[in-house]
Amino acid sequence: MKETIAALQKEISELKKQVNDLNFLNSNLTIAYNVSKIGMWDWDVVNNSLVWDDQMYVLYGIKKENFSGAFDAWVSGLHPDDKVWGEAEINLALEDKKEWNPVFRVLWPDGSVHYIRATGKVFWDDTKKPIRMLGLNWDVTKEYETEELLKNYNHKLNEKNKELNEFTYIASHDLQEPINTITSFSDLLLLKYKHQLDDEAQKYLTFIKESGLRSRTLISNLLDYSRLGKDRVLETIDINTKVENVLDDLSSKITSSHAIIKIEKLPVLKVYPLEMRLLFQNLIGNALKFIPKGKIPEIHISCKEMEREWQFDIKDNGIGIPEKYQDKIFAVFRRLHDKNLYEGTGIGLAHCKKIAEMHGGIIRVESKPDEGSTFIFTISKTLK
Amino acid sequence: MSQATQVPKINKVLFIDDDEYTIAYYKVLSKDFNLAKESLFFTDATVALKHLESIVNEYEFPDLILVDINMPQLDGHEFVTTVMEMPQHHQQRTAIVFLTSSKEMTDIVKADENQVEHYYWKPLTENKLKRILRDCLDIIVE
Repeated sequence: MKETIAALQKEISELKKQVNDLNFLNSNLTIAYNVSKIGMWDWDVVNNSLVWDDQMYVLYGIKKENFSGAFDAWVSGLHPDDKVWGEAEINLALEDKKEWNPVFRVLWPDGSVHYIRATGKVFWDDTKKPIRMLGLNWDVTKEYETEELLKNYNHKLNEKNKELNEFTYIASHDLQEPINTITSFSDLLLLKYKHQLDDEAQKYLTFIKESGLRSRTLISNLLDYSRLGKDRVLETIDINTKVENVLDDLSSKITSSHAIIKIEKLPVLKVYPLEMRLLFQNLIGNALKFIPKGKIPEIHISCKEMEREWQFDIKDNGIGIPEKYQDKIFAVFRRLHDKNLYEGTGIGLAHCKKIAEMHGGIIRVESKPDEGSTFIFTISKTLK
Repeated sequence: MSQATQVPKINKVLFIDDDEYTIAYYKVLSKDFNLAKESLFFTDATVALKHLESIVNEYEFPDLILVDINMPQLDGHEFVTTVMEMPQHHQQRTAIVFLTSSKEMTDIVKADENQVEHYYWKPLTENKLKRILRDCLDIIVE
């Protein structure tokens, strides 16, 4: 008997503790619920009786006494444009064809529009007739407006980018014609009238011709830049093969400089093939080009898999890039060196940046002057 | 420069380009190269088309037409499609060459669709002219 009582007392005290815990949880839940400003609704479908908690009236901007407590009362609070589809969505939920979790607008009596996110759960009887539906409403006006704003900005940005590309294309295309004329006619003059011109005049003419040729290269590069990726198609490519192709293209430079090139095993990836080739061509080409006289270029190409992307490293032992220029080198027509020392138009790395970005990645450089540079670019794994 | 004393390489050539300076250059180049017995130059493709339509005798149809693509009134593609449909063109087997600065994929594909096999990039030079004659008309110029 004693033991029984003791056992009962223990059980009772345990139950008390559980009730206390529950009360504590419940009060916490009530606080959280009040803070969240979430409204709760419960709809008896059979008798068409809709019960709202206090927060629901706040969300719909109406007074309790103006709410009839039926389905139509809810519909009447909706924005005119959302009434028809809102009702249709509810019916789909009742038929178990779609989950109820839309965002709709409500029109307050004061004329203001508010965005509401809703969720709900339907209960059916044995014959699959809906009997009850209950759920939550909360205000998402701020989120929605911010999202709309962002969408809008994004759209504008895309348009501007397209315009800019189009502009670059047209400008560079139309500039070609007059420059062709300049070079063609200076050629003719130099060929046909050379003997009628004194040395000074010939020198001037050569300047004109060479400037024309240089403009032509610049414009042609700019044109390539604007066209980059215009007709792009994603393909699954063995990057090893791509790099080998590039090395073939550069073979004469590699042989003449006795360059040592180490390539680790590279992955098979979904990329834009032409652009990828251009990227390696520029980076390896630069590594071969920017080397002090007499030094043998050493290039190391490697790749590692990261969580969201592949990271490629192209390391050289060249002249390096001072820190203050390291983020400037990727701009169009940016040159760090006298063009008589290292040839080029200064568009190669701009191409590289555009290509890396096209592949959802970035490009950057780590470098110390006189020691060498490592160009690092990434390619997203989820390219579409 | 080739010697003007030599015989012209072909009978008749048409140059079409909306840029008058480019045309001026073609005039000098074709004359110095002694390209054709008869050389005609047009800055408007519609006028060039009218000229071709007016030709009754098929042997007066040009051996070679060099045409730009990007032109305001009638562009190179439209011009070529019309010329291809002319009965005289079939008789004479005129070589049609696009001479353009466009590297647009759409232009290259369209040229291919219109069966224009010859696509050359500006600027035209004497060497390029030699290549055009060799590739399009089997005429070898030393």
